[in-house]
Amino acid sequence: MPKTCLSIDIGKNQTQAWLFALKEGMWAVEANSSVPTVIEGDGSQFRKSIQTLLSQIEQSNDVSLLDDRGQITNIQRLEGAPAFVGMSLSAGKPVRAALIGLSEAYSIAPLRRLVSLFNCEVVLEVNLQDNLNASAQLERLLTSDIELFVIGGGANGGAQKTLKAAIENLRLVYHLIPRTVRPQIVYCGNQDLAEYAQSEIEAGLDMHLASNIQTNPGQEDPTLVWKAMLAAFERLQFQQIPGLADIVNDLHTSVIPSDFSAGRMVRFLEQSSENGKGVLMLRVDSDSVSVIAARDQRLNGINHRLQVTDALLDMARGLSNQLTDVNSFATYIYNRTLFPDYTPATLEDLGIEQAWARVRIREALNALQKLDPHFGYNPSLGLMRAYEPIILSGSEMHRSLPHQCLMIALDSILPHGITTILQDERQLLTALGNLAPYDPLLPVQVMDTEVFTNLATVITVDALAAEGQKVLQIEVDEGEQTPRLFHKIQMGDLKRIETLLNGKTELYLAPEDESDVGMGIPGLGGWVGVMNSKVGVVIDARGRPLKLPVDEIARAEALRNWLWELGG
Amino acid sequence: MRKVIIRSGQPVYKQVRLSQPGTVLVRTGQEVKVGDVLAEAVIPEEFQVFDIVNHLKIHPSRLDQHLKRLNGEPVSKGDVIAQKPGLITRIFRASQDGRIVSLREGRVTLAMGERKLQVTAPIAGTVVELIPGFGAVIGLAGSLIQGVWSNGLNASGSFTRLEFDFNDPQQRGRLPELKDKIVFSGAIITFERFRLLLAKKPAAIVLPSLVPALVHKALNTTIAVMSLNGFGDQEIDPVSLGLLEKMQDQEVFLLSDGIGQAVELVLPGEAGKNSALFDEEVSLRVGSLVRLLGEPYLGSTGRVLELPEHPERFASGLMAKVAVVKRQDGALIRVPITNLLLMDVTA
Repeated sequence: MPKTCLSIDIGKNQTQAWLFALKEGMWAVEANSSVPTVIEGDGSQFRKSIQTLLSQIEQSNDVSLLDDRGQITNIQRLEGAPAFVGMSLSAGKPVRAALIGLSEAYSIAPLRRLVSLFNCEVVLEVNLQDNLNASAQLERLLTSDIELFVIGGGANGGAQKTLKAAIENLRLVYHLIPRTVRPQIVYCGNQDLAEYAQSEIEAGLDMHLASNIQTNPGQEDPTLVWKAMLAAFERLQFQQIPGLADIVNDLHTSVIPSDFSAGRMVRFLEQSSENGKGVLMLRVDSDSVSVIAARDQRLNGINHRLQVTDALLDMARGLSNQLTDVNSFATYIYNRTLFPDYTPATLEDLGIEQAWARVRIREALNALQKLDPHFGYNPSLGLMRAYEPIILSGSEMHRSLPHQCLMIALDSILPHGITTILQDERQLLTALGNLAPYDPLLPVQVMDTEVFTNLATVITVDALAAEGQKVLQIEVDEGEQTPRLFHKIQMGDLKRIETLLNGKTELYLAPEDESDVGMGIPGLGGWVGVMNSKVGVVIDARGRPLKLPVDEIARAEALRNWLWELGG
Repeated sequence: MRKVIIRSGQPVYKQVRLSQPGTVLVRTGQEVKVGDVLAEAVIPEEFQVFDIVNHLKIHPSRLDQHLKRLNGEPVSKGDVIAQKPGLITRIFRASQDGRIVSLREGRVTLAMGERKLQVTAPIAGTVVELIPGFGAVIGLAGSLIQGVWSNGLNASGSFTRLEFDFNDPQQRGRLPELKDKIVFSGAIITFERFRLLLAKKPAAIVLPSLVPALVHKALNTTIAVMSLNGFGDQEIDPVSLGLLEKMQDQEVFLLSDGIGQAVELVLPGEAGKNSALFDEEVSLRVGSLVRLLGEPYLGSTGRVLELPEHPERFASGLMAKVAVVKRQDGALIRVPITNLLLMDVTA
């Protein structure tokens, strides 16, 4: 019986499990299965759903996950059980968080970036420099129904007075008001006050101390606070999801946020990459878009939920390749919020669905830009900084065809230069992120087996040329057996070049003097080797910002033509 | 699979709970009327934090000498809490009745007044279950129509089906009195028509569906709004219409699960043959009545004729498991199962 390990992700709609096995010294995906997520009720249905999931995995594999009666039990007592189990969660409501800091730039902003990876919704920010009197501050803390308080601010050894007053207020908030969910408190401010905060607030296991998030003036290191945040997250989820604590206990694991888990792998990919670029992951689910970006050793992410507004509907309608009247478009989107599992069966439905996905991704990228000014996204010019690979995942991407998926990504991300777009069809980033702390070799070996689908290599041509003007010449070398192919790219073109099934396709890029293809400076070209991908090499010379015809019919036709060029 | 119940003689359960722990004031088996308080929590109305050391200019080491009250003590309005004697005596008095909840670091915190958070019964019935510290579940039997969207408000009132032709110029300005009624209109309610209805101050407005332009308005009104099918200009199905007709001029209750959430229209009455104990879990099968969720059949209903095992490809190019549905007009269509809403109706 090979050594195995199990990863479980309790998603918003689906709960998935992956079994990994060690065979001949190499870890590989052995099986995966999913069931609908059920977290409502007294916990019995939740337990039953996890039981069903484990039973599905057990049936077709050489592993023990349930007892003789098919029940979840203490997994360590089972013979042939996985060596370890990892678990992540994105189901349920976001955690209502309050951020308390000494200044906007040095504490509140870093705290925002910190909590965004932990499925939090910031409902209150208290900037202690705002000179709120203590009574008003207490009133705000009491009335916001907070589940997680994160206190930062102050350099070690720095001023303490206002922070002490806030800590005193937190003590009152914690003890005075009875709550459904016992709030958790994470302290990551001036370390001289850490012990004071702990003894003053008297929150026992609900208090989580961490090092100062502000390592030096203007420098932050959120990794120092991750452990405390994970502990707080888990304690909150145990209170909110009946039955979760028992399952975590039986499986001898811990539960972490899904985005944090995927973030671990994005960070790992960035650290192990030698191209000097960042790594970006987009998970597009029916009700939210997660963007996780690692660059220059920094990891930031956001889980963005979009509220339907007239302006956004208007923007989305302008990105649909079908002609749909305003009312029908809005009706579809509003009904979609009620029935998120709806399958777009007609071309019109699909056009609306994909246009809405474009808007949701754009808004999520923009939200991350606001959170992290170094991210590099401009709503009209696109992603200005280099990220490679860009990994797409989530239920919305999973159900689209590869070229549709790529088109949605291209139109919303608007990348520059050269990049590779991958698809994580089986949501393995989250699965691997859950297991990475138990065996760091596992994700490395699994990812080495090319578990992601290579969608395309995208080459974007930045040029100030007029529509129809030549901006790039491409020479394609498919080996000595075939004659070389030449493509002339004009401004406004979106062109697909197929790649060789086996081996590398070599392209020589010869941009015009003013054309920038991401080789460092405008006019500079060179050879690029690309591996086989589902869609191929895509040359995007449509310009930034993306110029779409004003006329509705012409615009829809242009969008359809581009989609057709990529695959139909 | 999501479903809606449209039945008479149906057991109905409504959970009512406080947002924070308190005291449950009812017991299991107790009959409750609309408006009866089921649970309450008492919390201070406001807090006052006073920095004695800085405001009274007292040295921290001498704080004890100037404090007149201790932590945890109740205080009445005007009571002296701290006093610094001298040429000009400085005094800190309680501005309201309350209690000292904290005395630390030279700061005193007073909790003053009290505020009761209460949850009341939105419908008459029997308390069938207690939620310790939070509330109770009320049970009753009656006719039930579940809708898929509401603006989060509950209501009760006499039910009336509005027979009014908005297109008839002769009827302009003659909308009947609707005050405190729960009104259903099968007409397409535009922004202007909605405004006219709101002006009549009904207790609630029930619509087959809500046109998207009304969403914002519906969320911002103080009158309960219920959409049976969702959004767009969908028509009501015959089963729901039949049950609504039975509700005419009866006292009905609109119970919402929250803003943008599902909602129920309940006419209390006799229990039917169905009992919660023996209720069979309704699932999609051949013969099931379903509502179609997508264009071009949005809102229409039909019966499932076949449930093929293998997924099929649709015009969009996507693959999905399907149901073969015979619509009311006799047309046979193949629809993704995800695009159906199961209707649990009286047989």
